[in-house]
Amino acid sequence: MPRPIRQRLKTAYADIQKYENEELDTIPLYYQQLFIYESNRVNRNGHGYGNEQYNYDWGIVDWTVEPDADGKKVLYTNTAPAQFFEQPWLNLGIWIHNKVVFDHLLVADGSLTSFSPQLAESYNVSEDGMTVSFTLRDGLTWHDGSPLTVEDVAWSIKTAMMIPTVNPVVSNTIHSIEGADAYSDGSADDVSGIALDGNTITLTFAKLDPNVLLTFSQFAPLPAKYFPDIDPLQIQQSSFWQKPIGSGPFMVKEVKMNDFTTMVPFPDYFGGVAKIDEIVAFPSGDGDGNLLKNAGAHKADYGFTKNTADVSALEDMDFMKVTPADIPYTRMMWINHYPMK
Amino acid sequence: MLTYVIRRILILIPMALIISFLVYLGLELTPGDAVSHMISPEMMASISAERLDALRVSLGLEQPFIVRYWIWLQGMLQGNFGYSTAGGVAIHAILADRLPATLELSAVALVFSTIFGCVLGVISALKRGSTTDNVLTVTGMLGVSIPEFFFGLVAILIFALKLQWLPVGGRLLPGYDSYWDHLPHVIMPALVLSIMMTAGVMRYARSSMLDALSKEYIKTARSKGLPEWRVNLLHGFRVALTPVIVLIGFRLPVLIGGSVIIEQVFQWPGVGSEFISAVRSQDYPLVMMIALLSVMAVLTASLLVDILTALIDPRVRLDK
Repeated sequence: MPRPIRQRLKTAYADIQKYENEELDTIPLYYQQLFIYESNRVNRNGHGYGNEQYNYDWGIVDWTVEPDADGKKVLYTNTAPAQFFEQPWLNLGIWIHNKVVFDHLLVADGSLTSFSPQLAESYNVSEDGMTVSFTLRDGLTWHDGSPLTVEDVAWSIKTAMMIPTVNPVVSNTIHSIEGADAYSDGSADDVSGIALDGNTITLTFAKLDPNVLLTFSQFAPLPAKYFPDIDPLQIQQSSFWQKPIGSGPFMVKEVKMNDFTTMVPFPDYFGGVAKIDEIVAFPSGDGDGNLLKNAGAHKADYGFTKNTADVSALEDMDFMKVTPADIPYTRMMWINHYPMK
Repeated sequence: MLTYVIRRILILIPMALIISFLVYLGLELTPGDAVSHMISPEMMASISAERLDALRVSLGLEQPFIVRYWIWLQGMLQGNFGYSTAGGVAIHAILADRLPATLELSAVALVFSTIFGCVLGVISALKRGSTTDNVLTVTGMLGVSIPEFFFGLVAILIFALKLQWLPVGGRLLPGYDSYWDHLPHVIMPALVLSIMMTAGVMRYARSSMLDALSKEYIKTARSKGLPEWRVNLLHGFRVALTPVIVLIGFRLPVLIGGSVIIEQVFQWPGVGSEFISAVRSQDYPLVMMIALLSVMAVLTASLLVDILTALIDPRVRLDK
């Protein structure tokens, strides 16, 4: 290769590197697939599959499990807490309690693109997309029997504005609400874009956010009365997260941190009482190092994994079924992201 | 003796301080902090630096390293173990939850290994050079050299997955009302944990028994016409026990620190697995407390061994 061309290539390569170092802080590395596994004891009774790391209409109230010797229908799974229940605004659907203990204003389909009411009886989006209102169902209660109100929903949205440990999509939506920035930086006492009227909460947006409905299919309202005078930044440190009270089809019954958590059907659930008698969850993250051992011992009836080695082993168990969810993730490499110490 | 004990206790304090400082420094030198563990890189990329800083301030992470260490130390001196950074749970509550599990597992393993190790070591010594001795020696070597996680996985495969005699892991299940309900859970991890300990005790007991049996007083006992079992057990084994007790004494810290590997393999909710998770999440107060407990256990065990040695063997003079 002639020397001038070589020199030009060298210069161009250096320019690319300079651009990457100065301008790009993420580089896509590879795609990762998600797999849902189920034992042959579980029957979804026709309900579909979707992105298990988020919340979608999976119809768990209708699921059934083969009864054990005592006639009890127990579903074994993982992603129970080891030390505390993670608040549900960060990793939206990873933990089993986020999926079954907390409900949302809306519910998404498996592809997270179509929405229908859940805690909300109805919702309305203005033509310009700048105003969204949700009307709650009548008679909604938390698991402790106290009423679930629009005040709880408003408190949850305002609290989530104050903390960084909120999923970015959700965070972007709630920070698009009119007056959110003034409220979160302390220059306003309330959020001008949140209005309550009877059983209806209306959100007025300062800028258009295309993910409003997606956000409210993932954002779980919390019972405000359990967090009196809490510093929002310390919300995860509240004792509430040792045994949370939610609004979903299952309520937390027994917690032995780092051992197991049991969840039983919420008898007053608006969508009917779940057919499974008990969910027993063992602690793990979404990457469960003990998955194969527990599955082999019939102590893993449902869950998801992104570990392809686990998938192969699960498929070799004749009582397990693995369903790939067509929702590839992109893994990224972050450059110069963390400050040097 | 008393002067020695007081001196040793006084030495424990600066040693514990130095070690705690080194552990804190080690944590500080690792990349990231508790906040970078709480929030995934994907999310971190879209959160402003100001909001992250606010979270750091609320968790007390904005202070310089030495100030944070000093605050932690002050709390410790006042009996305040602090709170876990990750979930705000009081550390004394976490330890109250995890320590019984670790104590249970380690105590059972310690008892198993002491009994089996001593019995097999004595048999090996009494049958020196025989096939039994050779088999036990080789078995002991294998026990010491094969990693315990391997034994653990093989045991799970055979006894839990194939034979289904024992549970695959964990300590408790819903509906357990008594200790007997969860006894099957402790058997496998305790036996696996005791394998390496048994092998060590056995080899130690064998060599000290052989040493004791070669002493003049054993010959004297035999010449007096005492039955062989009396000579071996009352005269030989009693003396051979001293170094074995020292070895077991040095293993006492495992009662507090737990077995990190075995707890992970068997999903045992003890201090060891909690320590791993606390290090991963850079939960400084929790890591420091567990590390400090382990350090104190090691130092105390070392002191106890010295005292026991002096009590058992009159030739040892601790004051000199």
